[in-house]
Amino acid sequence: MSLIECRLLCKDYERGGEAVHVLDHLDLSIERGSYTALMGPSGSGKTTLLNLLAGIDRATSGELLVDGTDLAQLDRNQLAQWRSRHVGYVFQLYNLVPVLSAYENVELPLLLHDLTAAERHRRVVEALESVDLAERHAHQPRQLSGGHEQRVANAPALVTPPTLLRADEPTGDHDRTNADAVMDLFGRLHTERGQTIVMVTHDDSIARRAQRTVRLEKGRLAVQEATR
Amino acid sequence: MRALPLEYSLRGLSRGRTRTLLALLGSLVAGALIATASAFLQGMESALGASASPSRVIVMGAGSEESLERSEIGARVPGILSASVQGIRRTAGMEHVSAETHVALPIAHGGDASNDNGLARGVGPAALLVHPEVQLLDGRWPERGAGEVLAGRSALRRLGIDPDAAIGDTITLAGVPLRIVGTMRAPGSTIDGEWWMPIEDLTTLMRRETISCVIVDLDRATIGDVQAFTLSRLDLELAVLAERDYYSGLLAFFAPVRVLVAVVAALMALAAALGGASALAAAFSERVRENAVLETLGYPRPAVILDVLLQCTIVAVSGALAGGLLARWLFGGMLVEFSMGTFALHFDARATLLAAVTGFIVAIVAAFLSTWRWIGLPTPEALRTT
Repeated sequence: MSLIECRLLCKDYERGGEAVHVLDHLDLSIERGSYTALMGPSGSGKTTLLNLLAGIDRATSGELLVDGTDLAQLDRNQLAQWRSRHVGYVFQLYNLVPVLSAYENVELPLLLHDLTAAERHRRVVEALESVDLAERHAHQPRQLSGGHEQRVANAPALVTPPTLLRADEPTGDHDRTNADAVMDLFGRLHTERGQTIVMVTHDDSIARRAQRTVRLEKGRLAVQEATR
Repeated sequence: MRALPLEYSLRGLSRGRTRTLLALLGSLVAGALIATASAFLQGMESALGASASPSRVIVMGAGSEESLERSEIGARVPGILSASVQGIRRTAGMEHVSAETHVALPIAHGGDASNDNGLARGVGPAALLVHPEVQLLDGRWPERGAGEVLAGRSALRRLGIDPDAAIGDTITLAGVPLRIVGTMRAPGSTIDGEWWMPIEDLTTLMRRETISCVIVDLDRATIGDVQAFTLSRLDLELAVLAERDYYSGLLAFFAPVRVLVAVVAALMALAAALGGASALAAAFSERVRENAVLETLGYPRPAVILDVLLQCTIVAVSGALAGGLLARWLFGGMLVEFSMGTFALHFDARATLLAAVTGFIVAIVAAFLSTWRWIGLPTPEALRTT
């Protein structure tokens, strides 16, 4: 059963007075509980597609249904509310709030949900434990190493838990050990929780961890293949 | 709408401490300027307002253009008026009719050569009846022909004389030495900044035979009765004015000064406020990516803007309020001399409120400037901002 349905999806930008077609009548389905890697050369539209799927950006035309919701019909605030309920984010840049502790950063998306303080606490502790950073809960981002910071940055995506986990270059500039830790986490989420994951990567070895690879070229679907 | 936790807002202030401090300083200066300007205007208004009573009328010279210092009437007018108008207030058989001479004269204390002018008022004992706001604090009423004077507390402070140790001290008025034999106070009124002496002595000092005016406190009589008297005695060349109208006229006369003070203070405060606002905006505009992250997580834009506004408000309003309080501490009660005497800067709730409002305006401008760039950027682009 499809969680995401894109039909004739277009996204245009205007640069220097000229329209640039970043996504060009794209058709794509993503199954619930699937693990998808989006690949393609720079400018192929993979990050734009990821942003559209996560409700961060809006399509110029076409139809995009996520879990039965037509995102084009939601206004800005409704879209923000929808994101808080359905999408977990792993950013390429860590994007942690520098004045909040690791615990508070993980808790931040949960404050948008109607949960008791005890339930929030349980989820935050669980998320921090799943990234092996429970003992660093009081540290602020500047007090953490790069690898630890990335692991904290992954944790907010786990607490809600989201309908869709959106990851943009989740291994970024990490060394192999930290990259493997992130990918192991995604693997566990997918197999143990049935989490739907859509991830953008340039790295073939990372993409092979996903179930399926979708390659884009010039805003169109070039190849769609099962990786395992 | 879910707001960001207050903890987040408060901790956000700890970032960019230098800029936050600069913003605080800018708001402090703006708040102090606005509060001081308000205290100046309020002080002048209340001094002139407190000097007027609804039951008192002023009988003055017909050609004086409503100026007591220019007014001259015959010395026998008070007696004629007293006999002609029925219904003037009486206390213990004494009518509330005060013959007065008002004049600004060069004043000095000790050996100081001063360019200051002091407002001298020649009066008789009836002055205490028509000006019940005057309280004799210390000493006694000056005796006629003895070179004595009764001093208002503000008038003393203006000359650098301690009001509590003024008795026995000597001042010179138009070069004539006068001994201070009593001190008085008239809170909030211009009389607090005046020098009172027997009217005969002041008339002699001025080498004139006329007096300035007659102040009459009406009981059953109305201003119409006094007007009828002045019209029936055209030979005396008199005009009558309600005291309240007289002081309203003065307030209108000083309107350009008040507007100038307000405009200058507002311009200076604007410069300080813009400095504070731009320092705040600079501190917050670095948070474009952070704002975009919050929005991406699901916090609606109004919640993020509200959070920025809250942080700006905490800095700017506390700075402006501190400025208002600092100004009150530094300048509260400071005496300002003007042609009608002296008034004190009056810091009241309005001055504090205006300082706070100034701070809030700084906060709104800063919040607008600092979120403007983020609002103009599409979220994906804002997320890539460094």
